[in-house]
Order: sequence, then structure tokens, then C-alpha cells
Amino acid sequence: MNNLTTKQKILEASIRLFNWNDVANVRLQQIADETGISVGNLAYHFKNKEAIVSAVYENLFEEFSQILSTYLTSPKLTDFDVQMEQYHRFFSKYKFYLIDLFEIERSYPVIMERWRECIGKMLLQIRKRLDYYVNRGILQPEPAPGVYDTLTNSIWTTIVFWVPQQVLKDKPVDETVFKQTAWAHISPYFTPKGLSEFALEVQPFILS
Amino acid sequence: MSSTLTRQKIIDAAVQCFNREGIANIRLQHIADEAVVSVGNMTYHYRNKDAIVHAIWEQLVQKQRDLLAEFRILPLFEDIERLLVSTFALQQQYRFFYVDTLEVMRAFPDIQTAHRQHISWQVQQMEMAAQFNQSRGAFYAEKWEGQYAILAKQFWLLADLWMYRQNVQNDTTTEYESFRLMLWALFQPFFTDMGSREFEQLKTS
Amino acid sequence: MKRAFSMPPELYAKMLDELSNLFFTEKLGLDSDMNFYRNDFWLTDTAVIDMLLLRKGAWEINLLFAHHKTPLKFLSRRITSHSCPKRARIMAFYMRRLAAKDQRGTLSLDINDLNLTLN
Repeated sequence: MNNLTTKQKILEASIRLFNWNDVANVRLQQIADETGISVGNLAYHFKNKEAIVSAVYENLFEEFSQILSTYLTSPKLTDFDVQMEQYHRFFSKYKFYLIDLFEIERSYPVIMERWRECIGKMLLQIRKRLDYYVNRGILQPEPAPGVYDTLTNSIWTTIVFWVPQQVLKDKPVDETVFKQTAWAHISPYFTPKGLSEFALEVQPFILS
Repeated sequence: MSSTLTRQKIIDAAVQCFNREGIANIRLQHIADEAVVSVGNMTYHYRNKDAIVHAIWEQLVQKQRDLLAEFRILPLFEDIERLLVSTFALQQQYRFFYVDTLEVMRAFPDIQTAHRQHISWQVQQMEMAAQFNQSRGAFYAEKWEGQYAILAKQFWLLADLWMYRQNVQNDTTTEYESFRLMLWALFQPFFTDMGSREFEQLKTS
Repeated sequence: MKRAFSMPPELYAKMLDELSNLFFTEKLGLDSDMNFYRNDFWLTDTAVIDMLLLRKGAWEINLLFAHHKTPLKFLSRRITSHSCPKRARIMAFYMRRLAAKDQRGTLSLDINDLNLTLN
């Protein structure tokens, strides 16, 4: 077992624990047990819990910017669909961080600040995507000023909170349903051209 | 002072405390101080903090149920509006619950179970309201099977997580107007001409 | 935790705008765009210089053509290569003489025609 994989294993075990317990209540002993190594060994890799939390969030932000970078890699509607898939995977993996957000805000303000920045970018991307669809003629022009800003917020809320609230309701976090719910926000605004493209390229994959 | 009055006083004090500091940071002593009763007296009514949280939650759900019961009979546009106003007021009143729903749910598994049922009931009500408005000609028919069901889910997702979303986005507006705008925007694409006219009237009144 | 790179939201918004514009402004190139390369008739009206380059152990003869009216229109062509530098130099001299329109070298280039900018 080389260093990299042990470190990776520790981080993955921490994510599992954070998903079901408060970040504040997880102790190093638990992380060591979950990883299957001794506390001493754990301390060799991370000097304290802060270091682990920081590393977990470092990974989290890394993955998030990975998703952000897939914005408009192709002009088609499927581009958003692919991004949604990635968001879904992300929010399923890191269920905890939304729940512990306020704890994080108190104890790790730097992390909170970066997270807010990510959110800002995510919102902007959704908003600009709508503009782009309007320019391409697959989305109706904004019916009244501010409508698409509101729509952006609704889509965002769905993408970010859908997984945790499904977990809360003890329902499956199925990807198709997730995408269905998110697309349902946009679909009423499609032009006929947009509708046919949607029916052709996206709908076959989200109607199971 | 009668026992029910004391209980209510404790509950009110607890809500105050929770809203201010968050559930995790409040101990029984704080609540007792706020309610001006002794901790001993309080534990006679409520065994521990969990019991208080439960009691608050039950009150909250009862209020939501009353709102929906009214709503169920005839969900016209003005009734939807009224539901929105009261839901918003409820959220302001029980801030701590809505700001921290996910955390509360994780900490209190039995509330989670009950809340789950409550949510699905709410969703059903909203789906029925959409169908009702379609049958009276204010909404367009579903473009595909199950669209209203998803609409109803979206509605409660957005409504219940309103405060949470604000907090995450660092949005500090506490005005009802933005809440209202966001939720009505969900319905707007479904309006028929008649629906649009009624909505215009609603806005001006 | 090290400070992450961040950019102001307005700038990010502008960047996204440009990104979505790409799909409208960027088009596939046309076949005729390459005509300047294939259509080498203009090479008869050029000033020519030769250039020797050592590549892969052999001396390569290149001819550089520049249009005598618009000197910014120029082209380099690889002709052949020789292993002996002296031979290469002689061959290059004759090739240049053959290719150039103005064999006596009375045409001159004016530096001002180049429209050079300092950046």
C-alpha cells in the first residue's frame, strides 16, 4: 500500500463518515477505524482533523471546478444534460457538505467563501446558458424582465438540493428523475424548434 | 397559570432561542431563562430538548395542515396566493427549522419519518390544485404524463428550501415579494389566457 | 489551505458570454481559404532570396518569395537538399536566378511598404 492510496483511502472514509455524522462530531479514531488503519498511521498522513477536512474540501472544489469547466463544450442541449449528470454524481458523493454548511461557516470561513464563489459561478453559468439558448432560437425570448433570473434560481435550487431532499424523504436518488425535474423547469419555455430538439436528443434519456 | 399555558410559553421561548442560535447551541438552561421558568418545572413538562423539538415540530405541522385544509376545498389563484403568504410567514416564525431542515432531520430520525409523510401529502395537494385549475380552464393541460406531479414536487422543493437557498447564496432579502415571484414563476408557463388575466388581477389587487 | 485563484463575477460573466458567442462567430473554414497556397501564379511577380538550412545532416535549399508590391505576401518553399554545403550553395544560387523575375536585381523593396508595427 503506497502513500497515495492510503491518503486517498483516508479521505474516502472521511467522506463516508461526514455523510452520516456531523463534521464536528467525527473523531480521528472513527476515521482510522473506518479506513482500517491505526490512529498513529493516520496521524502520519494528516496531522489533525482540520488537515483532513481541508483536504476533503480541496478535493471537493477540485471536482466542482472540473464540472464548471464542462460549460458549453458542445452547442447542443445534451451538453447541459451531461453537466447535470456530473452535478448529480457530485451531490450524491458529497451529501454531507450541504447539511453541515452552517457548521462549516462557523469553523472554516475560508471554505465557505470559496463555496460561495463556486455557487456564484454555477448560477452565472445557468443564466448564460439560457441566454445562449435564446440566441440559438430554441428558447423563447424572456417573456418579461426577470423571468429567466427566477428560472435560473429554480433550476439551481433543484440541482443543488434535490439529492439531499430525496435522501431526507428516503427516496432513491435516481439520476433520471433528477434530470427530469431539472429539465421540467426549462421545458415550458422551449420554442417549437427547441421542443423538437429536446424530444430528439434529451427526452429519450430521461423518460424511463 | 394552567399547564397548557406554561407549555406554550416554553415552546415559544424555545422557538425564540433556536431561531437566534440554532438548535445545537441551545441548552435547556437557555430555554428556561427565556421562558422565565425553572429548569425543574420545564423538565416536568418536557423531559429533554428532543421532546421540545418534537412539540415544536408538531405545532408547525399542525399549522401547515390547517393552511392546506383551507386550500384543499377550492384552490383558486387567490387561495394559492394566500397559501404562499402564510407559508412565508410560517417560515419566518420557525426560521430555525427551515434554515436547518436537513440537519434537524438527520438529528431526529423519527421527525424525519413523520416529515416525509407530511411532505408527500403536501405534494399531493398541490398536484390536485394544478388539476383543479386545469379543469376550470386556467391551466393548460399537461404536455406529457406526470408534468403536474413534477410541478407539485418543484413547488414544495422551492418553497421548503427557500431559506436554505438564501443562506447558501448569501441572499439577505427577507421580503415576501421575491419568494412569491419565484413560486408563481413555476406556474406561469401553464397559464391559459384566462389564467394570465386572473394572475394580472391578482397582482393589481 | 492555500488561497485559490478567483476572478470577479462580472469578469466571469463576460467570459461566459464570449464562450457562448463562439458558437455563432466561429464557423468551419472554407476550401477556398487555402487558394492563396495552391494558386501560386503570383510567384512570378516576386523578389526571391535563397536560404540554406542544415536539417537532418543535409543542407536544404529554401527559396523565399515576396511579392514586389505587397511585401507582406510572402512564402517559403523547400526545394531540395544536398549533403555537400558548397554544392548546395551553388545550386541555391542558380535556382534563385531561375525563379526570380528580375534577374539583374534592380527591383528594390521599400521598408515603408511593410507597415511594420512596433508591437
